[in-house]
Amino acid sequence: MIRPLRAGAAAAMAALALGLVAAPAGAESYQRISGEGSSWSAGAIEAMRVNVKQFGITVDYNPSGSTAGRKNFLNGTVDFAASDIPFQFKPEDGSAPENPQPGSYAYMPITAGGTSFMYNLKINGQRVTNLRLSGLNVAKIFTGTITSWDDPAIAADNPGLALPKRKVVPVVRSDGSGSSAQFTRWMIAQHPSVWNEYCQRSGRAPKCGDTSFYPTVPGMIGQSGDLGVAGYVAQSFAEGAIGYVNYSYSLGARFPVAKVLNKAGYYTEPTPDNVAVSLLQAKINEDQSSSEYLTQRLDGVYNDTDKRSYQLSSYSYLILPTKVQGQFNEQKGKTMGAFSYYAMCQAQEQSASLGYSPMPINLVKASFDQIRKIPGVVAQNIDVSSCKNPTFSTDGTNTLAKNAPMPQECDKQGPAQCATGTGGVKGQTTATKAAGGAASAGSGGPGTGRAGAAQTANTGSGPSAATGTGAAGGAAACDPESGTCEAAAALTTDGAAGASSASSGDAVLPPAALVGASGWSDDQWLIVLVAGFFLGLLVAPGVVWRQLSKRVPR
Amino acid sequence: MSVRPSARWTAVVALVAVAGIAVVLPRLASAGVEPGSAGVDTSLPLTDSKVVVSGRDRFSSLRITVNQTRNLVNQALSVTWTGGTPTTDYGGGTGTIGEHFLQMFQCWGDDDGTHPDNPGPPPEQCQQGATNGVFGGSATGQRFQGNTLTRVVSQKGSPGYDPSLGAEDEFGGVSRAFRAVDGTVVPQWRDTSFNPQASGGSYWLNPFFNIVTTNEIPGAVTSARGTGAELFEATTGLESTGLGCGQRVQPVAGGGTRIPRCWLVVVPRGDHTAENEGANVSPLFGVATSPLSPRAWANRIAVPLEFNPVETSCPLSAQQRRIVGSELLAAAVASWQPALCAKPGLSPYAYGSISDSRARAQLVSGTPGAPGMAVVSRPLDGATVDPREPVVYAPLTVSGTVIGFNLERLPRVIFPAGQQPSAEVLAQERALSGIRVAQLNLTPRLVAKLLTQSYRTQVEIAASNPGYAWASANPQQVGVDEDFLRFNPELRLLRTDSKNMGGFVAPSPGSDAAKALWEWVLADPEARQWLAGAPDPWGMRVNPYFTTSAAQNPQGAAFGDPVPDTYPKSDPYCYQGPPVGSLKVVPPPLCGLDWLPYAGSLRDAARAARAATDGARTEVNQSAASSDQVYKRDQPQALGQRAILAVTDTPSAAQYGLQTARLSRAGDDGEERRFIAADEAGLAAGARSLVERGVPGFLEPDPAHAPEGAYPLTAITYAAVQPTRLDDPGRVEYAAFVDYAAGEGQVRGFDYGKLPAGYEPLAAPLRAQAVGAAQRIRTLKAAEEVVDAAPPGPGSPAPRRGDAGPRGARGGLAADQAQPSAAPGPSIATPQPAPSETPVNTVLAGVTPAYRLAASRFALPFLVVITVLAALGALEVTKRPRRRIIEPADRDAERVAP
Repeated sequence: MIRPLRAGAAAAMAALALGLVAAPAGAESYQRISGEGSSWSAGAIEAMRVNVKQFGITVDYNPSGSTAGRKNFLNGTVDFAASDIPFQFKPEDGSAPENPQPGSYAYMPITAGGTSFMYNLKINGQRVTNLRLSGLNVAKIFTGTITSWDDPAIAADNPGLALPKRKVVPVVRSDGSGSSAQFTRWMIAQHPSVWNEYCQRSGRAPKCGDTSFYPTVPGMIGQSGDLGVAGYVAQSFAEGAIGYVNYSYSLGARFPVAKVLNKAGYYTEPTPDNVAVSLLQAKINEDQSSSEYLTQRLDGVYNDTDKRSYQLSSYSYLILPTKVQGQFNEQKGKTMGAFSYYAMCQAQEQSASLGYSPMPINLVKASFDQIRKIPGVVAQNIDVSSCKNPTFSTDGTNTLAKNAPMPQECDKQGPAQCATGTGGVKGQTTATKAAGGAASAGSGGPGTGRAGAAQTANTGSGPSAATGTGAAGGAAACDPESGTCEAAAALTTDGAAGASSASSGDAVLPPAALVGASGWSDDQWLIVLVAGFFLGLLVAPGVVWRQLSKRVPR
Repeated sequence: MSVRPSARWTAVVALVAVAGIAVVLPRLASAGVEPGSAGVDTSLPLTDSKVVVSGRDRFSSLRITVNQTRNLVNQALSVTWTGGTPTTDYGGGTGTIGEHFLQMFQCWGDDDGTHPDNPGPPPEQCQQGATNGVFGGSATGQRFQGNTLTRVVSQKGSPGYDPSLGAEDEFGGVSRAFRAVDGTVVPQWRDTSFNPQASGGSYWLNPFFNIVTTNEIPGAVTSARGTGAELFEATTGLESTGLGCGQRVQPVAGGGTRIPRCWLVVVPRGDHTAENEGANVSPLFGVATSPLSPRAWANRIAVPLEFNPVETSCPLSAQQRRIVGSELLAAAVASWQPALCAKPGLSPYAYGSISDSRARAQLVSGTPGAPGMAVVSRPLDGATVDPREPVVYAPLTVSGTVIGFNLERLPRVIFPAGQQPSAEVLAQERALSGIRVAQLNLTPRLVAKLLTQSYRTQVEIAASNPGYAWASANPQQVGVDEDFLRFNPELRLLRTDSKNMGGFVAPSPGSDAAKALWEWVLADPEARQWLAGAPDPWGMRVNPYFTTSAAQNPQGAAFGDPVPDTYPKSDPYCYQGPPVGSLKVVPPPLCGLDWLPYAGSLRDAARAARAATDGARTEVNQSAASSDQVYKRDQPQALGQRAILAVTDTPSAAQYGLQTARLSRAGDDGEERRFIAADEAGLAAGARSLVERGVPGFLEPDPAHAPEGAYPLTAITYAAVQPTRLDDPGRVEYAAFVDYAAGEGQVRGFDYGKLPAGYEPLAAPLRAQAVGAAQRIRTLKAAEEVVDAAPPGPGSPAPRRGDAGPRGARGGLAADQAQPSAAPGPSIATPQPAPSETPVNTVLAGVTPAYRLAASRFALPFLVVITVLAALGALEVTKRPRRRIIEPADRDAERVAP
């Protein structure tokens, strides 16, 4: 009799020790699923994947490019795909058509963002962070007709910069890429003659439609994945290089992106706010019977006249399985559904931190309906307002877009040019000619004032005012999302071993003092341990009894 | 024959192993080149639930040891063996595995009674056959023949044709079905008639596992001395749903469910005549049949695996508490999340891995929706912080940046003049071929060489020599660099001629950890001189694009100023290949980045090293129709010939079973250097070596003054919070996270909620600091802030150092550090005994075999339980009022969540 009792007690204690008591008894079980595709949206998907693990949901994702994702979804070797563009039933670039079975898939927009033009350019050794480009110049750069940074056409965009005579090195995707498809589609829509001429020249004609495989000519660099493109542009030898990547990668690389001229006459970059504004003009296919339901038509975005709009804003999609076949079954559908709900609701709160833009409410709602098409899904009736999505509002408008700040007046096409940085170096200003280059391009120490103040000073008045105060031309790492800056003492500290990093000493603000954390020695710990032990002896029996009595009836 | 690990077998193994060390590996007094001295044992430590089991019949000399078989979660197991027949047909350059290897996979189910002396599951219930599950061929670099990787167990037209074994496809292949734990039967594992041009259908038909999710080891190699070692990933039902290990999912007759029995099954494969009998295979082939075919299955060896119950998942909730920051914390957070989200009153935490600098910027951005906690290993610049909103720092974890490697012994054939070893040494080395090297020693200068594209393999892309004069005296890769060989003499016997031994697979994103690595390099006089342009004693020079001499750097600026926080590839050389194929397609240029691409993260870098594939696309596709099709993704390195280095972190290296290099301190430039491993002692000493560099209570590396025994790239991650920006629930939940991290989160273990392998628990003062910080996060409200924001005076109570006196007291620290390193330093002149002795000693010391446990064994767990109970009790007593405060919000959350 004694033995089983003891064993029972031991088991109960073991359970307590393992913390299993708190675990809900009937936790859901989910079959593991795997997906593949877009590298453009990989940063957002990776964060979702990692964070659903705590709910017992195991998801694998391989960011091998949209084309590979769609291909392996069709082969049935992955359960879902992520793609920046829909299936290519009639590809216009000569590649093999993709033939998904009708009713076997559904599109779900999962994140939004901007295809940005990350570049590596210096004037007299100082990094340029405020480059502006018209759409036409972007097209000409990526078709090899603008070949030097001192091209008058670029100078016209950048009255404040004396750009060097340096070769332009366009860096494009070498793998099958949704970014390439989006970019070429934009070029075809906006600058058809430039594209068509290039298509001839690059030997791709007559298949001159939009393409996932960017045609290249000598002088261009091809790289695999956003990671490859951003990695290339960021190298010190790559001065003169410019590549197209999702905005989040320029943030990761801490490099600037070109502000692109919009139809309102302002040069903008794809901040999460600006992307949200831009995509108000995306035309979503709302024909539920269409094989392309919920896919985007972006001409409205290209031609948007909002001052904040960024032309190359777009959505990226999950391709959900909607039919049990091959390796996909209803148990996996349950996982796919739970993951999709998480992606559309909770995960959207995180988007801006990662450099993406959250989905607007209409697409979240439409996606909830798409999720219901997954076989085996445990359909949920989510109160959309419970999702902490920064775009949501009580009145149906897009809060993020509504509150998106207007561009500075110096971002307007014209003689003034903002000195403020972009992308991953938002607080790093660039000397502009109007401000008297030498004076404001000082290589002085890191900013000592609050960078936020410098930012404020930058806005409003012209370029000279922008660089006059605060940041003093010092390098500063800034929050790309918000525009607040961190003076980059770390960046400019010299490499002397052991040197204190607080070279900006006068401005160091010690954090709040930590109370009760000092003066502890091993002795004190021993005392605590012994005390804990005896407390344990006192409290344990009661707790065990409580827990046992809670558990036994079940 | 029994699975039960009898004392007899442990003794045998011990003897064999001892014999191996005593006889096979005698110390060579003179040469300094000792096969095996860099370690041949890369397996995990034995536990009290280890099992030793032997083979049957023609495999009866085979003894397999599994290091742990009980209380399993999703973790790595070490499978080692002796008495095998050496694998043939590999190592000859092709990497194709021919004969004599082991196949391993996980299975579920009750004993099917076929081998009373070795109970085990039926073959239908094994997770096997997925490694060539990609349409169009294998993508794993595993080179096997015929049906070796499949579930096709019989072929129509062959003498042994037996259609009753399973489902027959249209080509006459009979597939062994897969029976999942829930009773689902998948008769065919892939669709042989799949046509991607036609609409619909799928190639892979098994919903329960595929090439991504399987944990099978398709072929494990036995060395020339009959031994082998593999890491096997034990999976629970969360990872391998078809097996359901640890989950109450197996239906039982009469209703209800139970936790299934689970097994590791090893199928030893012999020579082709025995294995292929009845299969109609050309005698030119090696083994070409499935391990599930009756002939092979007859030899299967089963080892029972007992899993802890898997009950940790929490319901999805609409609420979440966001944290962003360093990837160094990612593995710990992944372990803590399921335990934290099960705690009442807390929202689940969501973690976003972003670079430290972005995390710092986001914390202070003040934008709506900005995360309230950033995780960094350098503090915020005071200039960016609003004095009215002070930052509270709480230490969370200790881990380290490491050079991970996956290096399999491939004996050298040709030696430089005068370096030809004796025939005896060569024979000893050949006997070790295919075994992983356990230890490498690296100095700051060697790491600098590997980071700077200075070895010729890094700039001679596709064997085209850019004709760099500076590189003419440079070695091809580190394995032939005298500077390396003097600290790793045994590597003289090995071939390491891979481009992956001339540079690292390194993560692309910037990080404080990368900056710390560069600071360590730049703090070392030897490395600094070399980077400044001076050749090393053997004439090797730095790639000028990385020189710290602005005059010599073609970019006109000194490298290293400012100290980079990334791993740049600054050499612009690109190789232009000749036109390809009949269409004369001009290939795109191949540049340094194409040659050795970045990994997306520290974890990806570790994964790349483990799989021995860096993701480069350099293989020429002769049938390319356009330039974008010219270069194909490279095959992974061949089994038994892997040689790859990566920059990763200790948890990732542990997760992927990478070995990690020992490093010398900056400034330790003598002949007798001391190399420090990123192990428990090294990381603990490393954490103690960190110092305040301007922000009180925030410890950062000081590589120029690191004490002996401290692993140089140790890093502490800190949570940074501005409590005054947060609302009450935010303060409570971030404080709870810190409390958890400082408490239960510091207890080592594989279970959810524990501190995963690769982390060193925080020392008591740091934990106390974290608890204090948590209290501060909880209580620091706007009203107090003005007072608190004042810079602490000289008498500030903030802790200054892990355990020693103030920053300046280096003497005191050195004394302190002497303790863990009291043993004579493992300098290169007196190499430590090979670690393979450790498990042997354990066995000889008579660890009680599994299943028989002394009562005294409960003492420690009992104490632990008492302590935990005390903590629980305290919680129970103290948290009542607090819980009442936050419960309403929590209830709302539950109502909202559907």
